Amino acid sequence: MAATSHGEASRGRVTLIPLLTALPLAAGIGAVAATSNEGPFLLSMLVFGLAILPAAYGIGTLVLIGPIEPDHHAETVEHHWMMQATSGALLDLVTGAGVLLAVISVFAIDLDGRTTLVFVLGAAMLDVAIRYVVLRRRG
Amino acid sequence: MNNDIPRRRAERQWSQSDLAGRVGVTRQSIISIEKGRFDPSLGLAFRLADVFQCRIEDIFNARVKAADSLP
Repeated sequence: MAATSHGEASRGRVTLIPLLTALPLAAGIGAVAATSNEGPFLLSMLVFGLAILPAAYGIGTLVLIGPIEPDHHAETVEHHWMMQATSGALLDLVTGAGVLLAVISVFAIDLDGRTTLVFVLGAAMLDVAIRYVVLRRRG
Repeated sequence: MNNDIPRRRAERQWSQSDLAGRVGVTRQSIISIEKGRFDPSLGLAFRLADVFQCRIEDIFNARVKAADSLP
C-alpha cells in the first residue's frame, strides 16, 4: 500500500510540476503572440496559449523532471527502434525534398517558405512516428 | 539468435521487469531479446551473463534462424 501511495505521489509530481511551469510559459508566449495579432487580445492569447501548451509542458518535463529512462538507455530496444525510425525518415525526407524540388523547378511553382517548412517538419515527424509504431508492433 | 533467458529467469522466479531492472534496460527490451527479435549489445550480453552467473555463450547460442543466414 505504501509503495502504491508513493508511486501515485511520484506520478502526481511528474504531472503537476511541468504543468505549473507550462501554464505561465504558455500564457506569456500567448500574450506576446497576441500583441502582434489583429484579433481580440484575450481570445488571441488564449488560442496561441493553448496551441503552445503541449510544447511548454514537454519543455517543463525535460527541464524539471528529466527523461525517465533506464540506466543503459542506449542499449534498449526502444532506442534501437528510434534510431531506425529517424534514419529511415531522414532518407525519406531527403528523397522527398529532392522530388519536390524537381517538381517545383520543372513547373515553376512558387512556394511560401513558411508553408514549406511546416510541411517538411510535419512530414518528418509523422514519418518518424509511423516508422516507430510499425517497428514497435513488430516487436 | 536463440537464447534460454526465459528458462533461467523462471528458475530464479524473476519477472521480465525484475531482469530488466537488474541489467538496466526496459522490460520491452527483455521481451524482444527473449523472442529473438533484438540482439543485445555486447555490454548488455555481459551484464545478462553476470546476473545469471554464467558465460555469454551459455545463454546465447550461435545457431541463427534460416532467414538470417540467407545472403
